[in-house]
Amino acid sequence: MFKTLLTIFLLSPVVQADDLLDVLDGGAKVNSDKVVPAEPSVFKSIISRPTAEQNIFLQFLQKGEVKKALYQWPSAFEGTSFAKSDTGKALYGYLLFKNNLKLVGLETLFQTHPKQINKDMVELWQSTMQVEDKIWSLTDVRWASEWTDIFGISAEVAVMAREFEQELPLSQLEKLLRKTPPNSWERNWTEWRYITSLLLEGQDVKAAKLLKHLQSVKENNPISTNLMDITAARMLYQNGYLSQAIRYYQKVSKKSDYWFQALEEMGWSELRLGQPQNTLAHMKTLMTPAFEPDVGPETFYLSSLAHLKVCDYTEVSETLKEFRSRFQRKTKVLLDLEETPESKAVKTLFARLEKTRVSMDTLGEAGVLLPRYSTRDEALFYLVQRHVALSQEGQIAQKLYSQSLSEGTALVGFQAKMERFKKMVLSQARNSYTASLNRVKFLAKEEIEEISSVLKKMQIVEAELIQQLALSDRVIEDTKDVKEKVQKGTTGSTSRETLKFPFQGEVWFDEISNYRIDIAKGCQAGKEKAL
Amino acid sequence: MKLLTLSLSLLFLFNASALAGIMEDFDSLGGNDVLMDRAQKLQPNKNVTVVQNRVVDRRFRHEFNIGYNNVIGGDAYLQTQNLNLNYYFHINPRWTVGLNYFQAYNQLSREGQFIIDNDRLVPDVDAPKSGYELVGQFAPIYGKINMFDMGVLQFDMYALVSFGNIELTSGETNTYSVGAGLGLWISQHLTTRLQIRQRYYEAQRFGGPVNIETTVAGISFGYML
Repeated sequence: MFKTLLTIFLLSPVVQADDLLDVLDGGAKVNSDKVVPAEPSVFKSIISRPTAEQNIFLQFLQKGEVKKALYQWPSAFEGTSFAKSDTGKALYGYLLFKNNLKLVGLETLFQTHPKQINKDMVELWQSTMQVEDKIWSLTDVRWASEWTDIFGISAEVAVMAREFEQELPLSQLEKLLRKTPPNSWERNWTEWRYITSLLLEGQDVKAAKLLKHLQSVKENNPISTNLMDITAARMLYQNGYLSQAIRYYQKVSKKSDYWFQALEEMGWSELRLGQPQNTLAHMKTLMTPAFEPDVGPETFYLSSLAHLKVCDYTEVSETLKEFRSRFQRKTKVLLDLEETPESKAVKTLFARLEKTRVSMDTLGEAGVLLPRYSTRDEALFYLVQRHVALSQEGQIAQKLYSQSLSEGTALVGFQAKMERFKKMVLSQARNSYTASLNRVKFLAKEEIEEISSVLKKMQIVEAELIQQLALSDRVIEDTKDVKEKVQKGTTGSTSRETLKFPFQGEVWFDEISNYRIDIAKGCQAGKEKAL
Repeated sequence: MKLLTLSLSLLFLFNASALAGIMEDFDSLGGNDVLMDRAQKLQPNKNVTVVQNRVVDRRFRHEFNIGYNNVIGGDAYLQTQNLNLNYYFHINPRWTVGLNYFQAYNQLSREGQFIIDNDRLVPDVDAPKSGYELVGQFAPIYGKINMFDMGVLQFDMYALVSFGNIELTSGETNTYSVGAGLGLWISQHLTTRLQIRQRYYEAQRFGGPVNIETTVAGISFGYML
């Protein structure tokens, strides 16, 4: 019953039946953010009885001379109870923000308790952030529900979206779903996180229903169709719907990073369906040397199993050797990365990630010297992007420091304070770089563990190979008079008009993933049967 | 402090041995070739083919094509070149039918000029002026070309027959041709064809009608809708 529901939901048009889906389709009301105009006069209400130095600060701020206001900050507020108060920190953060130290400024604000901040100051931040929404995805802040009242649901979702490690509880995601505006990317992203959480909880039917809904959303959908298709395929695979899973795996575009995984998982489905010839055809594509950076050890394990299944022992042995050669080399690279992650290849990757997202194939030779998932690791992309933003702010801080020599106050000790400030910003930039390197180390470690685990499986395959070889005389004897079996492949193009070429060892790129393998007399004695 | 140093040393040794372990595990993998001669007896027969899509779909598509032909042979005193306008209807990748109109441009060959200049004679020629015909093509052979690693072009080789009318200096007569061609499908819309065919028709001479056989070789470029 459970499985039937799953296929119905995944393979039928969108089904909407419960409250949550009503919400997803725009039935529920959500709060819209109000626009608050920035008003310089609010500063006076923030500081009730200003001193002379604070008056100078306030005048700079009201005139919009934010740089001078920043230079004036130490003499106006340092050591005061106001500077330590939540409103004081919020004002200091605002000052940094206005001096183009946006991340540092915003993160300074998040060191406060939102309820304790002066109302006018809160409104000032609100108006500022309404036009600076992109920065949320680069922040490293802990979100409290009070911040949602101030900055709105979009900001909350943007901050949540970069919490990659932490799995959010279903109840929290449900709440978010009900709060987010319909057809917004926030709604769609939350729905996606909700689906993945449901899957982890084992609630496949509900997840399938929602996934089907999300697949129908074309506008503001941050989740790629390929990712949704491979997820649907996995759901079906896990529940034993192998043929249906294959249909979804086939939908994953060749241009997508998920294509390699889709092909491998399709291979598993074929093997479980008793079609090892099709698995071998997929493996032929994946084992093309050009795909080395994208293909993991599991592919070799699958390939060796499929070869074992058709008693192609020579190929099993070759696969074992190829696995050894390729992954011993890769393990060495990954071990080196764990030790010293700042390699030339990593620097190349960072340089590219600083500009935009990259795919493995665009990295050329550097690809094999990196952890396999490094190009599509969201956490790494976030850390590198954050480093870029913080480095830029570091340069701004450096400039502010240099200019403060001539433009700053004549107060004794002022320069030392500015230098401390500059060092603080620069150290944040350095920390973000170290965090990026640590992420590379983590990815390298994860991949070593994966290789190590598959290596153990490959040793079992080798033992199985030896055992089967030892029994081969018996198999030959038993199958001498058995009718020869032909296993025809069904992979490659399925269109009405196809081109067929014999494969003679030369790899043409247009032929990738179009291989078809027919096998005769697998695990049988006797003469070779013509195909 | 000593305890800490000891713990760190043990941790290091443990790590080092774990790393050495994974490398050793690799070394021992795939080293059992002793039994492999037995493997040959059960070796399956494996056939790998590439089954791929046609990049350019040619089912029920229209192609408009313009081309240039050079006429080789035929009348020794004439040099003829044609400009062609073609329309093809691709029924499927194998079968195509079409219409061809050609305009001929003639000039005297060196032999023809020689007769006039030296012998003061007028060569006996019946020059083609234009023609139109119905064309049928059958493409049983296909292949592809690697264009300097920049891309792969699929092509079809086809046989063709045509039947139509040719206008000669002496008047109109029937013509037919047989030949072969190579169609290169450059993109979803652009095509190139190289074609060679033998054209037959009857020309009029002073002494009566004669059968003319010419070889027509040409190149054409098309646009597919």
